Amino acid sequence: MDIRKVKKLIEMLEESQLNEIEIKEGEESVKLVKAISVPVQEQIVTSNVVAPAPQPEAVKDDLSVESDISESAKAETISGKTIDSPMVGTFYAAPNPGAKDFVSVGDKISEGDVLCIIEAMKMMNEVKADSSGTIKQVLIENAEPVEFGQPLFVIE
Amino acid sequence: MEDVKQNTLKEEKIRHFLKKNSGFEWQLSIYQELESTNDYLIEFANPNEYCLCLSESQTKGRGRNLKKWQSPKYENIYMSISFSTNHELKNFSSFSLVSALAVHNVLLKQNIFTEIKWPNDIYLNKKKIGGILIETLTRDAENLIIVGIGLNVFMENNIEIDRDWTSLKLEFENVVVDRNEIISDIANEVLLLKSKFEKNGFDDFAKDFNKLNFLKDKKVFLSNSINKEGTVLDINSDGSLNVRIGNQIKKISSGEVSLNIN
Repeated sequence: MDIRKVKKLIEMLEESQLNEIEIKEGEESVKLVKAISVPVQEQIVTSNVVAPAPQPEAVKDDLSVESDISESAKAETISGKTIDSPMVGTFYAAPNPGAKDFVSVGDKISEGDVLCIIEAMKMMNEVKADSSGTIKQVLIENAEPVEFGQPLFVIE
Repeated sequence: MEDVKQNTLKEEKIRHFLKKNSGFEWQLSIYQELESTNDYLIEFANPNEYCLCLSESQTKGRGRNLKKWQSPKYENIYMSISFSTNHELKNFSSFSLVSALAVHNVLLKQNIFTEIKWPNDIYLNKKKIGGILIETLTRDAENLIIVGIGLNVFMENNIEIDRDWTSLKLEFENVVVDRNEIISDIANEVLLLKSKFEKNGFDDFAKDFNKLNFLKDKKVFLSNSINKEGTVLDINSDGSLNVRIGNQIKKISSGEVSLNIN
């Protein structure tokens, strides 16, 4: 898994009221757990529920990273070519909400295929493949902000 | 109010106004009904021409995230303009704001003063009267820009719009406007500002935009994974919006900025 993605996840976790995040993508998964130094009220937290309670100050720092990424998976990541965001904006995996994603892991793509849309200032920009290959990884979630040059896909 | 049907879209009228102000040759398409004028140009636009597509009604008019754009027949303006640019798309995002300035400028000539809600919604008397959706794609190695504009003109009733909206007719009971003229003026103005934008970038427009910044000093909610409230400051020279969140100032370049009703 791309280290930048893990870093992003850490930032998201730090800002959120969640205590842990676990992401699975194919064979890879990463689990991030906050090191909590004050007692936290018992709460059930799932990925699509944000607890309304204010975040205790002491919880902010000290993130420990547990990762069970296998060595082979890591090697795979490095071997791929990435398709990077052409601009600052928001990533959209599908042409519109509820529609099927343009591409998924394992899809064969040809040069010129539309891979995603990056929205910036309500301008919807198609991002096309600049070469043929197979999608190995999608590095970002739908509707997440992206920076210029940020890798979006790994293709082989 | 004059019968809106007497005020239908007329090709010769539009061509007349288009020619009057610009030296460009337009490819003009006018329909009684289309799914969406943007979709039409996405499919058929010729990247070597300036295209203007109009429809008296749209069955799948849309805004961002497929939000339905109400498009009843004869009542409003539904138009899309396409052109190509050799500028990099990453530097073109702020044209989104410039296209709203084009609409503002045209209405100002009719003594109608609108404000702009970042990035490109048109507001009149604190209510939304128009919206713009821009889509870009590459075709024949050209970057094609499609600017879709919806502007409420005669519409007086619509129960399906879930926010404060208005139309020229609702604000000015005795308004006399010819959609043909407004459409042509907007098309001319979009191309004029596009030339300026390609030459000088957004910098020159930032000052104008800041005077029309409907969100200025207002409390807003930022979605797009930020999910926070903030207070709007100014627009930057790259078109992004400064929002104060707590003690921090955040530059916003994408995602929804909603007015905080509370």
